[in-house]
Amino acid sequence: MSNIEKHLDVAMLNELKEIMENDFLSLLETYLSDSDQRIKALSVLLETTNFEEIGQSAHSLKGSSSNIGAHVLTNYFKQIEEAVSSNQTGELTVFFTQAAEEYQHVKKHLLSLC
Amino acid sequence: MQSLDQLKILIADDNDSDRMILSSIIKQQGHCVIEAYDGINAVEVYQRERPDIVLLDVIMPNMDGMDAAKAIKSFAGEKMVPIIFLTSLTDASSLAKCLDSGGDDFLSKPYNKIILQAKINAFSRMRNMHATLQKQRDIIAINNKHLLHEQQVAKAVFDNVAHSGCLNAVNLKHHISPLAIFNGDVLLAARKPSGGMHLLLGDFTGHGLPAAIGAMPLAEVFYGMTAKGFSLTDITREINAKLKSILPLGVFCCACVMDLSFRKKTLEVWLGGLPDCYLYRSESGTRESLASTHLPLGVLGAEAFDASTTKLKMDINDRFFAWSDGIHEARNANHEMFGDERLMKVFEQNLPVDELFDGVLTSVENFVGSCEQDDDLTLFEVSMVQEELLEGADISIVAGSVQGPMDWKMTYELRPETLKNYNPLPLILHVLMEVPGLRPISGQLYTLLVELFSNAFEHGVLELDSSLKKTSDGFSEYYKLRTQRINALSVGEIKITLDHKHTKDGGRLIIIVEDSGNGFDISSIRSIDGCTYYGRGINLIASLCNSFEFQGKGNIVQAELLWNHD
Repeated sequence: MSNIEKHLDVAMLNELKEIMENDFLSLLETYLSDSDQRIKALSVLLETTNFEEIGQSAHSLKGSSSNIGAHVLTNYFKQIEEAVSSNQTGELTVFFTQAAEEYQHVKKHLLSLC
Repeated sequence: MQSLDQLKILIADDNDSDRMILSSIIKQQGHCVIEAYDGINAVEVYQRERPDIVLLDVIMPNMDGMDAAKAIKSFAGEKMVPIIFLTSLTDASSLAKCLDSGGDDFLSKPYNKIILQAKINAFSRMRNMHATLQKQRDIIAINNKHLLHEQQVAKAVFDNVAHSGCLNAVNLKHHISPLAIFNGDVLLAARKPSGGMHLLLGDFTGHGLPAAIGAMPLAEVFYGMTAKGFSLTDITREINAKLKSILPLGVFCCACVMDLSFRKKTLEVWLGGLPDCYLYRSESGTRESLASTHLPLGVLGAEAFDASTTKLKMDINDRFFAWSDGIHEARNANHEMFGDERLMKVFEQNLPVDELFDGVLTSVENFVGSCEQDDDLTLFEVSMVQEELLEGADISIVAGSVQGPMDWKMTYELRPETLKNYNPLPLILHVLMEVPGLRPISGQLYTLLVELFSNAFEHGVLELDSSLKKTSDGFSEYYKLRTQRINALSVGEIKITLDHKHTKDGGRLIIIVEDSGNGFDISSIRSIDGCTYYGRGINLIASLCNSFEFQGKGNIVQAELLWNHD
């Protein structure tokens, strides 16, 4: 598997390219700037005990990441969401770190497509 | 996949990149896109733009997708607005909750272009079907309103025709639903100019307008002819002929037609197709049945129709009951019918005679219970009373003249060509019927005219010998000759003269029939007893008029009839 495929579903990205036509780059930019913001906000939330919002935030990031083909990243956010809903909040910071790292990979690959 | 027609689609998702992807997919399909970023915004935009389909993210800040869905559905009202939830939820109970809140479908993330487009097409078809259904529902509602209106008009027309009746007379009791006309049930009552009453209870086949429509000509004939003094048999015959000619096959009227005479204390009844009527004798407390002896009205042609009646004696306070089969066929919750036996039981309960009518109704109502009432009950009670108890008959409203022509003379001369193929008697009878006083004896008059005219024609003009008819061979010989001579007819005449005058008590009619034949030896008649000289014989003629005589060579007959104001 090539490096990009470890983090992104290339077939899906190609399909997105077809769907978005000239707006493909704009889509990537929107995703990246939106996700930057949300991940920063999530890290702040993790210092609180506002688990409901943490869950919602993770849920949202999970959704947008799945749409962009970032399958591994999607799973990490899913992990956070499930931890919140099953009340196992001990591991949250660990899960978040994993997600944040994976995001950097995704970001790098997406930027290379621009 | 081609999409059906262009739709306006609302996308509500709080995630910018997700919205962008959806928007592109949908625009590529050819539809128009509007966007919202949370639940509250979604509801606002819906109200403003009224999109055809809504895509809603389930989890959104400020107002989530499910609450937004509820709000949007309530604003949409009767219009169908499909809502597709966008979700990355996967557990069954959450998905079910989405649909319960008013969503019609869901689309999971990551978005699949093919699936989304297919779902949009499916909902587009559903929207079209829904719109068609509503249009058809509206058309049906309008048609129903029209139908109801038509029925109201029909009922109003009928009420106008029927209003001149005397159903509220003191000796009559009746029960009939106000809309019974649409069950085919009719109740008519009219005072006769000469005193007495004509009554009719009818039950037409069918329901609705087709059942009602026969009632109008029926009522017209009934009231019109009664007012002009015609007899019950004439009226029944005329109604039958009219219904036979206008009603389609299979549509007819079961009926009980009655002539109540206060003076003679009799009730003459023609009963065809209805259940047995009861005559209750108040003095002895006994009950007699009168069964139907005829086919309903409108079935038989004029030649086959039998207008004969049954004559019943009725003492003061005797009651005659007539009903449509709605009573016998009333059903209770177990689908049992009320039937003959229960009806008979009502009359065996020793009720006071005045309470029999209500007794029947109560008995049926109790039997049917709380079951949905058809209200198909038509019940009629006729009592014999002293005539003075009735209010004066309102003859002024009666249609047609009461007096008629009283003092006149008319001659009708028929020559060979006409004699060959024209029967003048209906016209002669019609002229005579202009005299109200002659109407009650129309049958008698017609028979007399037939006798006199056929004698004049066959014996006077055609010179046939009726003694031929004594044997069966001679019989067919006679009619063969008759046809031959008619075809060969070139000379001969018959002259009919009518002369009517007013008398102190009523009127006097003279009918003179003169033929161009050789006549016969008048003096020979006195010695012939029940003779068969002329067709059926002189005795028949004698029974049909007050007096008659032969004149001239025996080729002239003059008959005189007297009638009294009854």
